[in-house]
Amino acid sequence: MDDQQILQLLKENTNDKALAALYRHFPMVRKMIRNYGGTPEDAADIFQEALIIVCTQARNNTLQLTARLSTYLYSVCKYLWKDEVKKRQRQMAEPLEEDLTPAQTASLDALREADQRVRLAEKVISELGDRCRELLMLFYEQGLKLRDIALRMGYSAEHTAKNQKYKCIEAAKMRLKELQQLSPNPTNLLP
Amino acid sequence: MRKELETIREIEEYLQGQLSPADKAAFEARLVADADLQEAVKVQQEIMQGVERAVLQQQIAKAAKQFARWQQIRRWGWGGAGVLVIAAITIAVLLKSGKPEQAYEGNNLPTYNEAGEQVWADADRQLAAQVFTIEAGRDTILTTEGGIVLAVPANGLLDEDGKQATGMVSLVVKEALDAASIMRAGLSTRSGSQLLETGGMFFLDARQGSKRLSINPADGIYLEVPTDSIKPGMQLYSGKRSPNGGIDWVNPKSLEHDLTTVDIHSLDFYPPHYLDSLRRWGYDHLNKKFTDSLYYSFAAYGDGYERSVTTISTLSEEGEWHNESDTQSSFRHPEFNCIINPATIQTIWSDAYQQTLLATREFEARLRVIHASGENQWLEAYLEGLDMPMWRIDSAVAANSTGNTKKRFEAFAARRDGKVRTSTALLQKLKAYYKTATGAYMLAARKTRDDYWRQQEQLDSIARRKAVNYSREEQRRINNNLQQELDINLKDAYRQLGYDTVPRPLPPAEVYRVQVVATGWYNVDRAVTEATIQRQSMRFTDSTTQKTATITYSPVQFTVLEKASYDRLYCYLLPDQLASFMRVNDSAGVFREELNALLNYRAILIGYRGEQAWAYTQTAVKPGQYGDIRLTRVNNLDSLIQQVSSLGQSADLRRELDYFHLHLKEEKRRKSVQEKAWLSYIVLQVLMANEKGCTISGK
Repeated sequence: MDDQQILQLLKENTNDKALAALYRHFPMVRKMIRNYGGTPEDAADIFQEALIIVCTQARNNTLQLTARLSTYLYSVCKYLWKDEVKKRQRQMAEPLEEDLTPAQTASLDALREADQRVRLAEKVISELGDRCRELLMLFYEQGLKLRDIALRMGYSAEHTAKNQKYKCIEAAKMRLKELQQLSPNPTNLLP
Repeated sequence: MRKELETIREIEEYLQGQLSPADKAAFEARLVADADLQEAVKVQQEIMQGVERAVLQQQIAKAAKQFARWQQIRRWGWGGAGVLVIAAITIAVLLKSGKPEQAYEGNNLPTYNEAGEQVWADADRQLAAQVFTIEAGRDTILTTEGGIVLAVPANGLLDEDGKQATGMVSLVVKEALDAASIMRAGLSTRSGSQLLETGGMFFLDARQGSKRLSINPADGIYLEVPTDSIKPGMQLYSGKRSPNGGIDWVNPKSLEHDLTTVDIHSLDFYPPHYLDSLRRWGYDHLNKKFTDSLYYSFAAYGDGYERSVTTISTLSEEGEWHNESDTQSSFRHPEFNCIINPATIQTIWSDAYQQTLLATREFEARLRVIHASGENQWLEAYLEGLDMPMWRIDSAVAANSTGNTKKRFEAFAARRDGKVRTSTALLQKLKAYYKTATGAYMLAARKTRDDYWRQQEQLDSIARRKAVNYSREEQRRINNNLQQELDINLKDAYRQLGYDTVPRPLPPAEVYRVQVVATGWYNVDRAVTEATIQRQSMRFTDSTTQKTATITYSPVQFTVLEKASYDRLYCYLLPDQLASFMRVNDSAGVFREELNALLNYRAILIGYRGEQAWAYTQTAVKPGQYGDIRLTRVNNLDSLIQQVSSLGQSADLRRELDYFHLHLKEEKRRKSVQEKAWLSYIVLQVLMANEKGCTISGK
């Protein structure tokens, strides 16, 4: 699969195949992070976060590629690991070379900033009841027919499913607002 | 709908661009004026993004798992891969028509389905076929787009005649693994009237050209369906197409198959190579009583309890014949954490554990790896988890071990071997039983070993004492004989020389042995003494009386017919004027001695075949050769001895024979002790040939 195909899939929100293709680059990243003092678990976390960034950027059309997609993914991992090391207040034996353009870095910084808020929302979603969470995810995942969702979730009618969805959104919104009022800085609330 | 929910619906439609241009303009106008609405839109947008992120997160986790699985399969290669086995999905039915069939392509279907019927369901038409072209003669691992991993063994497909298919074949997969695809394909999760929770659905077919192939039921195809979390109780259903285009799911099979128990005594719980080695060394490896008692005896060396076998051969000041042969057993037993505790094996390899998780071929396979690892804790994990599915224990062991052991247990875990269904009350009892029984077996083994060695030590010391007594006795007998014979010889020599002297009392005989060789001057005493000790004839002329004295020794020899047929053979001379007997030494199969012409001799030859004595007596022994002596069987050796010997002689002789008898028994015992120690040394080396890498210290 070439870069264009992958990006097209991500834009269309059919992520499965694209993610499988991108995962082939994981060993390279794992090696890099281990070379810079990380564990294999660190590598897995960083890589997954990088994938979220790349997917989000692809969907928002904010991806600025100067080289191959794999190179960009690798650079994003580097960027994230550098940040993580700084957070852990550890000294790197060898400084990590930055290989993103300033524009790319700025875009990433902004995305990460915004991502803090999205992560808080995600946390709220994950803390919803199982049925609510599944319902919302089914609605948003891929254009499923309302009839199918209703059938799958065991609702007698489509409008019941829809109504239920709104109730779930309402619950999520209330909880999110609560959390945001509790602390204006979302990082404090994240694990 | 409530007003609040109405607003949420409106915001959603706005955010998703579903409003008509007019509605959108109206909404935006309200938005400008209403700060609360702005806030509500912002929060709802965040919620939507959060849901998207959660979905993405889930997809990434799935991709990560699929990738890890894929790497694992490539690393292990064949064998450890299958989560579930589809024994045989399709059975070939001969086609009636010879017309070439249309092939699977995209959503196109061949005329006949995998069973040779013209029936297809909606799902068959809705789901695109993934066609893999593989070489039938080779092992193949492939991944579908949805992440199902298929492992097709070499020659695992059969043609319509039931023969192994060769060459290139097509493997067709249709899959619906997530809710979206399942719904799009119009698949239901219905079994009869029951609703099922599904982990995914797939369709599998194999073709070669237009010909249908079936899966070899002997091999099966290994198949792994990706999942985020393992849910207990998942089963594999077969799809049955119904006339209305749907599929009914029938004939469920458990993925985590229950294990079947076998007779626990038909399993092999010994460490690898234990029986092999015994067989190679010529021991009776089929005698379970022997192999058990040997193996379980190592339970005595638990808890780092050490005992050097050398201590049994500690030398006392006297017993010289003991020391050399025992050095080979001078090894120290290792700390016990080097091997799997034989007492644990003794506990579990018993009727108490029939019908449990341990009485399975699957456990036998794991125990082999546990033996190779030398780690008792892995074995204990299975004993603790008698009521669990085996794969759970496998995973736990895999998670806590490293290296080779980890890999092997990961492979075990991947087999998803289940549990043995037994009453839990029984299992609870067994858990407690294992601890007490193992402890008891260890104590018993230790006590047996200690008692054994204590007894051997006692026997050793008795034997040493007897040996010392015997050698003292023998020394006394030889000295007495020598002194008496010397007396006789001297008396006669003086008589021949014309002296009427009573010979002086002699200093102890030992003294002469040295002096005779060293000096160069003669007198009659010395000449006679030397002759007597050497048992050689002598001739001495006295310078004063000019008379000559002679002492004559002449050779006699005895040869026994069929000498080799006796286990032991002794020859004794009984001189009439001496208090004790003389043992005649055997040189090259012939008993030779020198007879003193002044004495009269009788001879007795005693042979043993086992415990039975055979004997031959000769009165008035003359110099010369007694050849081809035939011994006769005697029932009362004592009375025969009494007939030919004097009172003192017969007592001495009986003592001598008794001692020989004892000595023989003692040798046998010592040999068996040595053999035991040596056997346990070499067996221990086999037992310790595991990944722990312990070595036997000492020799």
